[in-house]
Amino acid sequence: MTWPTDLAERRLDEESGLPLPFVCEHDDGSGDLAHLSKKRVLQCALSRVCAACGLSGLPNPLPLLGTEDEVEDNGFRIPPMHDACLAAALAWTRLGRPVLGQTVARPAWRVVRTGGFDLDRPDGTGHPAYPTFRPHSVVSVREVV
Amino acid sequence: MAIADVKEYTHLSKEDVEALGAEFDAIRTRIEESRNADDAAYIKRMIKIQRGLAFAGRVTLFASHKKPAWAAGAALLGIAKILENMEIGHNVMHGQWDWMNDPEIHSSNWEWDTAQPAEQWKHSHNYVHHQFTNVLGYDNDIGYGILRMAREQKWSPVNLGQPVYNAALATLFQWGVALHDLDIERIMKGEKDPKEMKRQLKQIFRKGRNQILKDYVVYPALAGPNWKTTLSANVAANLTRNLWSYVIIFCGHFPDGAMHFTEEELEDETRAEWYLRQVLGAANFEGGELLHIMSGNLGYQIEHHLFPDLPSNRYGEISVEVKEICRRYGIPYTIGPLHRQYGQALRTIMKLSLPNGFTQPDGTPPPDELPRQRRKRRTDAEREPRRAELGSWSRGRTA
Repeated sequence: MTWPTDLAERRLDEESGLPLPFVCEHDDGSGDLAHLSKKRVLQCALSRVCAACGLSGLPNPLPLLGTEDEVEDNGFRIPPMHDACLAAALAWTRLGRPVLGQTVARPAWRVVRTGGFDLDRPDGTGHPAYPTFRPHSVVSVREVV
Repeated sequence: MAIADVKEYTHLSKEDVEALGAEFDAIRTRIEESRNADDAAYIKRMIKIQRGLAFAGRVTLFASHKKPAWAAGAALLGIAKILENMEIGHNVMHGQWDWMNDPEIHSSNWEWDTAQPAEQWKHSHNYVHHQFTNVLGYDNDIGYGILRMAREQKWSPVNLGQPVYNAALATLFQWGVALHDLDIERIMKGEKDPKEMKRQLKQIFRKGRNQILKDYVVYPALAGPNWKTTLSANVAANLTRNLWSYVIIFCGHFPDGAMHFTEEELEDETRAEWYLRQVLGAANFEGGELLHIMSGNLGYQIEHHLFPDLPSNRYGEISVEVKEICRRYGIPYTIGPLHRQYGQALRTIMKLSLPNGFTQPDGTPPPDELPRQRRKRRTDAEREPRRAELGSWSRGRTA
């Protein structure tokens, strides 16, 4: 696996030894591959920066990586990424354990490309419990794992 | 203090707040589901008009040795820049038009006609300002790092110069905005990562240089013998845009009634509470359709803060419902004519150049003086340091 330079330079997740995505890291530098930082998710959504490397220059249409359920619900947890970061991100999804905010290991992942998204903030009652991206102008859906 | 401590809605139960949030959600859903070809036509029309105005202005300035042509060219160009920055650039970069799937009119691609790089704006404005609206120590739009705009901010003798700083900020507004994401306060405290600062400065230098080249070198050069009058007209157009943008932006959060907050634990804020903070922290102004277009529909600042990614041409329609909801729930909906809103902001700037003891608060009392406060407000010294990610993000791949 070749990691984009900016992603490769990020601190490593202790358990997997893989670069820790921007969206999994807290402001104090802590964090792990299993959990998403809510603040970082919102930062990515509003600043239009990549969930993996935290940098700007996202492609258009935007790629959203999600599980089958997320595609079905039209509600994604992970913010958009650069194409190169997305290709590298598959290494995280293939670890066979819960990653990127999932509570269980997910065998199947999809990439949805969309012109944009509507952002649902957590409502405090668990619907949703985390910021959710709803793509509103889908161009394509592709299975990636 | 927490948003839940604000007396303007302590009369509401938790259920009321959730119900209020649900009403705002319903508005949002309705507008999201009704975005249509008319909306798309609106923004395309705006872009066409803006480009027409800019073209007409540039062409007119070829005859800028004649005073009427100078005035007409400067005016056309100034209006074009205002339209581009306010109604088009600002709103496109919010993602209001991403749903059109137009590769040009898209938040990922738009670069606007002002000195601040779009990427830095999307951080300092879309994220920091809109997420931490009017939260002291978080939102750099409170005084742009050089003005004391809230009584809770510690006074220093430097603040005596506020009337001068304010005039300078208004005149050079695009350059003030260009430096916005650098976070001058952190730089002065030595908290800014020098690497990041250098990277951001490079980006600002490149964008600023291109803006200067365009308006003060290339177009004057194209005007040949009229280069001097073309250059002065371009200065006038930029100045007009600067003053107008400054007035509109200061009317959004500093008239009486727009509140500041001092809460650090924003992570647990519910969506309904976030909505409420947006309503309480913003102020609208009244006016006709043209005024709203020329101000990027930021006369509907409350609606913009509630729904920053909904198309700006729908804010007028939304405002009727938002106002009615606020009335039913007993929530203040701050609105007034433009001159009054700006007058109040200007008065705040002047008054807060002096220590608190010399002046009385206007409008909404500051958070630490509100009755029924449930928690003691932390002092500046007790507060956590500013957000670590402020101004430290903008290593753009495309930059």
